Amino acid sequence: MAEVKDPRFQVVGINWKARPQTAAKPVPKRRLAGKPVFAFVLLLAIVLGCLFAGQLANHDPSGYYLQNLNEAPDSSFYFGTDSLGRDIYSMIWYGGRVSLSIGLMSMVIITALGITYGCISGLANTGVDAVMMRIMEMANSIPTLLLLLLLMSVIGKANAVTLAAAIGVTGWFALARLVRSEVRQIRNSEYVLAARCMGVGFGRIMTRHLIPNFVSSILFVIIASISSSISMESTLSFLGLGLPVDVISWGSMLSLANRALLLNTWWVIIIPGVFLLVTLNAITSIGNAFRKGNTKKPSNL
Amino acid sequence: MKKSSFQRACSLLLALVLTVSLAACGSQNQAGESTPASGSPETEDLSHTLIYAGESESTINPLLNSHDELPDLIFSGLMKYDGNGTPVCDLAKDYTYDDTTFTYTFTLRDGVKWHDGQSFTADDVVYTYDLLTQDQSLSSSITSNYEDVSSVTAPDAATVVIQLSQYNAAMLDYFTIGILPKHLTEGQDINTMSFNQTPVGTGRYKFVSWDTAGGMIRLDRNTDYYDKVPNIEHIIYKTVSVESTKATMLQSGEADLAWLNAKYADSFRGNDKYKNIDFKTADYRAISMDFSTDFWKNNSDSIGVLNYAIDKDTIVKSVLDGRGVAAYSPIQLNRLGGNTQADIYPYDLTRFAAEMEKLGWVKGSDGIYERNGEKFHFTVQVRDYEEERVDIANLCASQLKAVGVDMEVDLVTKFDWDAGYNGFLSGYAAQFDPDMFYKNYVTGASDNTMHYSNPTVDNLLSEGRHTEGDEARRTIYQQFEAAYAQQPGVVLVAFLDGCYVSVAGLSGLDTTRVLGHHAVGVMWNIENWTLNK
Repeated sequence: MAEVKDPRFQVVGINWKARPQTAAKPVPKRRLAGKPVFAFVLLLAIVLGCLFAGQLANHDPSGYYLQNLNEAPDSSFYFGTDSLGRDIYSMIWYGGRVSLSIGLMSMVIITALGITYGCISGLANTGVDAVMMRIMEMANSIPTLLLLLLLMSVIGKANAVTLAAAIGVTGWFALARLVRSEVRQIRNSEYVLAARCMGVGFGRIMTRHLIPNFVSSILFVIIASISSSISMESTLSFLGLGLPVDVISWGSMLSLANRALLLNTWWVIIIPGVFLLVTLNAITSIGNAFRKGNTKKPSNL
Repeated sequence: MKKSSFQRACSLLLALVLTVSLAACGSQNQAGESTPASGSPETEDLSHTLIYAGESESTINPLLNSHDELPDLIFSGLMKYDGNGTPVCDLAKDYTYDDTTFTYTFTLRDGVKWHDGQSFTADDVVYTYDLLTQDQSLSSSITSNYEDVSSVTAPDAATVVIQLSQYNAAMLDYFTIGILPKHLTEGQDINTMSFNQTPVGTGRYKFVSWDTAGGMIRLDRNTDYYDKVPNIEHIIYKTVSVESTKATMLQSGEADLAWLNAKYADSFRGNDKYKNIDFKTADYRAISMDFSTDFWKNNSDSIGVLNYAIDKDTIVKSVLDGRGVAAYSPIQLNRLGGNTQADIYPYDLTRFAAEMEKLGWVKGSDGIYERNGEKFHFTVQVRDYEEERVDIANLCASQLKAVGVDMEVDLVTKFDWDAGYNGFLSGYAAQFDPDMFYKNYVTGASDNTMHYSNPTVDNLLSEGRHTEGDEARRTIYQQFEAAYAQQPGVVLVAFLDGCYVSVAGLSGLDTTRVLGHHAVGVMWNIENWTLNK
């Protein structure tokens, strides 16, 4: 109700007090409450740092500074150098590019495969659905790491794209199952039935009717797949089976940890580890927030 | 009704399978517990056992692996090297040499037994040398060492006569080769026979068992040994190739002795619980070019020039922590080598650019040299677990890249000689006679795997082998060094020191011996070692 400004009128009433209007807009703060602002800021900082690696780095990330071996963090090498004089600070930003893009690429592959497979299985008749689900469960019962090692040995020489593909191809099972159960719930909705009756193709049903309806409930899994892919890359590179050592990623930087442990150069291990940890945690808590938002929705009904 | 009976049958079947599998598990456990814990580390007393973390092994045969520690422990030859690297009598009691007919006559020791109890005779010696000189199927890198042997005969069980076709200065060295037992190996394919995994020799230690899954080779001292029986009763040789694993094993007490790279060895210095034993070696690291690949067939003139662009001293200081020396000649540390006139490639980038221009290389738009439409790009394979070699290769590649040469370093888990790599990061050593490199550098010789060919080098190495007297030979080998430097097949980087680290309780290691490739030869006087842990 618009406030009455006319001086001929005055407001009367029992216990009426002139309440001062809350000046600042309360809206953004309320909207941010419960959201992982801190995690988001950290992640944004790291992502921006990686994007602007060229501007941030003060040394050549693949250069060997042979006069500065195993130097502890100082004013020139902010995060120290490793046993061959490589600057950890510059490597972190360039390595982050590779790690993050592997995470994103794998996420795309996982999402594409998982949603497609889940939708087909969900829309199919019981027999086909059962077969598809059993096949998936069988594949899922093999430990992912083992499957990945097999794939990597078939691929041979890994680069960022093949590694992301391998991680993606072995990581979509959980998502497919989730999508399939969501599709099962909505497949008999009138709009889906109507679309099918009108002879709308699978692709259009999936994109227009199915995905918009379950996207919120699988968003958490999709976001989580970024962090699981990044950590998978690190695991593989640490084992020496991922990216070659000359491709800088957080994982391949961590693969030097063994050596650093023997040489007592803690910064070579701790710094990439911290970056990895912070990124993974930030992504997870953002994903978690999406999940919370999603589970709240039904309770509003 | 039908369905429920089907279900019942299914669940019965499932239960049966489960029971059987559980029973199988149970019986397996029982079987595991009932066997005496012969090899379990908890019950074993290791106080008289030296645990050595060494290179990985697939065969133990003196004819097949010439730079490993184990063949020298298990086998013995007519001669052996003393601490100064001079050949002295071993299985031979003594020998005579007739310089008119180039004939060596060896009198063998009496009463030498193979580890299986059989007597060692002259027949075994004749058999072994016949393999080395006549067996065409033997794929061994050392057969070129025996080219001059024309006949090997045994007039009686204790005498061996070896006749040469001409004088050979290094022949006594090569008589150190371990002798194989004729009665166990005759008629078999030497390259693949199972004897290579269950060797029987006449040496200081007996082979006991090989746990291939766990990577452990057990040896016991040979109490019937014909010379001094070693003090240390048992040796466990753990096959580990990864350098950091060896260092970790030493730290955690899983190994008593290991050869480490300079950096890891340094991390043990000043620690009372360990000893650092630093040997000199004749082991060089180099980028070896494969002349059977098209790139080097076309560009063999452009190998030496690369030396100008590699800052070897800095590599020695950084990767090797200063424990080594920059290399200019493959025999620069040999008693007959070390011709400083052959050191013709200083680290000089302007010189490099000038020489490249002379050779007709022009920088392309991407900053990489080109000639005749071909980029200066070649691939080099390095085994990924050899960290020191990986570091050396990466540093060379980055220094070459900076001046416009694209050396691609490919990390492999196993050398692949058929994959078409243009080269590999190599290591070789001539720790005794410089003639040890005859087999590496002479055209078509048995260890010339990179197909290097240079008529001047062929002539000089052949002359060096067949000339008498150290002074005359020194002149020849120094000419070889100069000639090789002019047209090298490898880009030499550095000679390494042999940094061994042991537990404090191990003593007796003697650093007078110059070690070979992979710092081999550390156990040359193992019979005098003592272990107190």
